[in-house]
Amino acid sequence: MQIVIASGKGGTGKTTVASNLGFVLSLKQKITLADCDVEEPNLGIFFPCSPECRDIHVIIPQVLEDQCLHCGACGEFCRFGALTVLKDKVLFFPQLCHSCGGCFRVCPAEALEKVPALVGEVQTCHLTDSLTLVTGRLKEGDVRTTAVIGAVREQVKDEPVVIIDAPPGTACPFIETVDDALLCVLVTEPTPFGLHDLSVAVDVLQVLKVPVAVVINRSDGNDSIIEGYCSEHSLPILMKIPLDFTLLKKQNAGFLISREDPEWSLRFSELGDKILAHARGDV
Amino acid sequence: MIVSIPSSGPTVDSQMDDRFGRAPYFAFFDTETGSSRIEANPHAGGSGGVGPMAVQFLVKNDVKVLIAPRLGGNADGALKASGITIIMQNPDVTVEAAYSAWKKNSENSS
Repeated sequence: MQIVIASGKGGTGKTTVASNLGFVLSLKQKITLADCDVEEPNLGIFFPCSPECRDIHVIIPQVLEDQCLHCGACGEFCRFGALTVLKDKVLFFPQLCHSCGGCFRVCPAEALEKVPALVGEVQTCHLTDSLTLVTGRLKEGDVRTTAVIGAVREQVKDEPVVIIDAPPGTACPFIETVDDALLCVLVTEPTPFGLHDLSVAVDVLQVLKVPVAVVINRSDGNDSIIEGYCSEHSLPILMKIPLDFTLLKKQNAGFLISREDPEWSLRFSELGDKILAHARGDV
Repeated sequence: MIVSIPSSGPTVDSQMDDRFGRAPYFAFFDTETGSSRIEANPHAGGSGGVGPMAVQFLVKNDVKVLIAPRLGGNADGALKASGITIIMQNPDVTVEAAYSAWKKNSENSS
């Protein structure tokens, strides 16, 4: 069962919700926390450990110039512009390559060799008997996020309950993270920005046919801007986290609020029960 | 020799486009015959990597000189490798004017 914690807008509290939820649920059952925000994974801040690391590669083409006919087939095929065929040579731009493999298929001269390229790593930490953290980390300077996200999801796919911390935004990395998930919990804030990015994320999730639930963070007591939208779109609001600077200070010092404070442990435990019920379709 | 210029419209009196890979059209001038034609840039709406794609398009059209505004890093690298001569030009002129200015300049210097 894969449950994704996402937001559309950055900085709304995805990691806060994912870390506390994973921790609290792991007191009762086996939980895997997966950090798919591979450009800036930060779940590990709340769970310091020495991980086992596994390199992640993608396959890219290497041009064998003495076999190449310079026919242009690969350059015409590549919609990402990664292969440029000139009169007497082929240029390859690795940062544009999406590793789709199409160039290997269209080359009539077997002039492209498949070579691995390192794009990042997957780090695994067994934190307790019932809590495992799997973190995807993109190689600095690289842009091929989806390969690393895919590797994280592949590694955790058979785990009983997986809580996934998603990357911000609603583009390819988000879609790679959330596709086929049982439930996506969108963490938002009661501001026009929060509402705008929430609605963009909801639109994407509707296309992907992933059920949605909402958590409102930094609630100041007047959340009508989000509540109105949610009731219009029949989205359940599962929790409100108040704008509380004492809470924020603890959190910013690296403490997990549900581990420090029994009241928050209880609240996240209730959220966990609701999320599992929604994911199982019991609601 | 073929000289190409990114164009914002389908005629030579259109404004030069201020982009390279995403320019909607490319103008091609033949210095020998004096003829010109304009073709739509097939990659203008591509999701990415349009700079190198446009270079490939120019190579296919036998372009030897490109009169261009600013260039992205990938386009610049591909153009240098292709051997196409790059002439930088402020894009606040028409395609025709940019070509005429280049032609006059190259005749004077030769």
